[in-house]
Amino acid sequence: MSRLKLEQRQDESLSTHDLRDFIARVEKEGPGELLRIRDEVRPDGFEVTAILANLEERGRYPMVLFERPLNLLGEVSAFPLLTNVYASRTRCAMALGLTPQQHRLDLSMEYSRREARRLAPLALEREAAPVKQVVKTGLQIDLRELPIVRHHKMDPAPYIDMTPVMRDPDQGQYNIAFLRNMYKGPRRLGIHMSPRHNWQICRKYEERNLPTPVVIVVSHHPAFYLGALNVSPFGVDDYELVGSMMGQPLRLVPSETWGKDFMVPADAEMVIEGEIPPGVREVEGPFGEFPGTYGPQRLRWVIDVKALTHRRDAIYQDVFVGHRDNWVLGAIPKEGTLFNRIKGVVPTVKAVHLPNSGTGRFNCYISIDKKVDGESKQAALIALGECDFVKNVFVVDADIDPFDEEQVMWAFATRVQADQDVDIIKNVKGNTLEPSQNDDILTTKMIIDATKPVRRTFASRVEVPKEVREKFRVERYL
Amino acid sequence: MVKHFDPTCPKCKQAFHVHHEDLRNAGVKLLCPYCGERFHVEEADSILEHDGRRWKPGAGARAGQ
Repeated sequence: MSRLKLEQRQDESLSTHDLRDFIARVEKEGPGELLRIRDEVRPDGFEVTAILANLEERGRYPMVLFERPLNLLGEVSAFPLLTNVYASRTRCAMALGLTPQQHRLDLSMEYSRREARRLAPLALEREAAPVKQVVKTGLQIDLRELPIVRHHKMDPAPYIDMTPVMRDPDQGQYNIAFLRNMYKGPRRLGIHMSPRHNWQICRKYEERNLPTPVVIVVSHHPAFYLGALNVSPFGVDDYELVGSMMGQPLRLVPSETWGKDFMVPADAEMVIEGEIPPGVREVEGPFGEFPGTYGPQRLRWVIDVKALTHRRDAIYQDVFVGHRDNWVLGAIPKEGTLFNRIKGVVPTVKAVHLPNSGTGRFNCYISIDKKVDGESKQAALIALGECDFVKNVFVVDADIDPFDEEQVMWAFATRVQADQDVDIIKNVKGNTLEPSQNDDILTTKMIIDATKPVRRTFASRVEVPKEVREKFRVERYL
Repeated sequence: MVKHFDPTCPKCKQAFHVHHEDLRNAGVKLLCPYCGERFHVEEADSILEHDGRRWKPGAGARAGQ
């Protein structure tokens, strides 16, 4: 009897790790972090992103819940639309169960710790899975019922921009990735893949002339999506890694299309099941991409949608791609990993930050408590070698907070002589979407050593005597 | 950045980015993201090539048109 109760309690605690739980916590503990918009808006008419862009212009980055978005049929959608979830590190910290105050290095280090662990998923019966409350297959499916967002002016259509999942046909591991999915028809999507993990899986199916099963997890707890951005090598099962990120086993349920051969997240708000037919390519894009610039129109794969399953009152989710929502999400998984790698060689590394000004990817700020000249360059080279997104590395001393860009730029201004402290490395693998690259693959990387030299004197930073500052705390005057 | 060229839509006269390697010589119709018009590369009102050269395809320039 007591054993049964324990199991029930565990099950209850597991079932609370869903998106609603997160929204409730943000609304309760993060004043100003959630903005509810009750007006009708047309997501496919740029009205959602117009509101987000106007908020951004005022320096406001709340998570926004559109309660009455229109669907692609022009009707009020049955699904509220949640976006801009990841535009604040505070909310990302909360998504991992940390306090809002732990949003800087604590957050990236906690991510790194969880990324190193695995938690086996838990299989549920169909009846217990919230995502199976509504099941549509075949002609019952009409993607026009969804409030799909058209983000930027040059986007040709609304895009679902959350995470397709694919399963390796040889090893069986699941891979989750953020990939853009262009609306093409009530049961048809386009999909863009770069030559990374899902691309490899799809290629294997195509070589066997088989369709690639794909499941788009349209909406789930934010820890699911933070976990999806892990930088683990090909072969790692992302369902296990996401479980570790969520702090509990990811609950799974058989898909409608492939049964137990392809499990889907049971606590998702909504999933779309489909197949990528082999050898079929259609025009797709352009699309406003993560750097804040457009990726060009391409010949890309398509998805024939086979099933749509969701909670009865599902919340649809979107990422404001090319903006802070996209940049913070990209930065956190890389910061912790880079910190750990650098620490192995430069033990005095203090913090690593990929700032929003560098799209959370291209610029990397590293602070070290330098003991020996040359350590700064070692730290920079590790960051460049570890992550092909990183293009410009700024290394600063331990008195500089890499999360404070003004301090980093101060160090750049006062501790750098370009002819001595800047190194240029040509012909390194870059990212195809980085707009300044004039080669498809190769880029130029830069190291800026903004640390003080160890072996000679250097002007000290001004300081007001600490003991006097402590006597005159400003709380008395404010 | 991958090489792209910018065709101008023959219908709405707006330009957009197209991946050079995928679509410059693929013979498939491009999709204007602004007005939904579908047209072959040679039917573009003008083309800004990736090297900065701009030119206007002649009327009926596409073979067989």
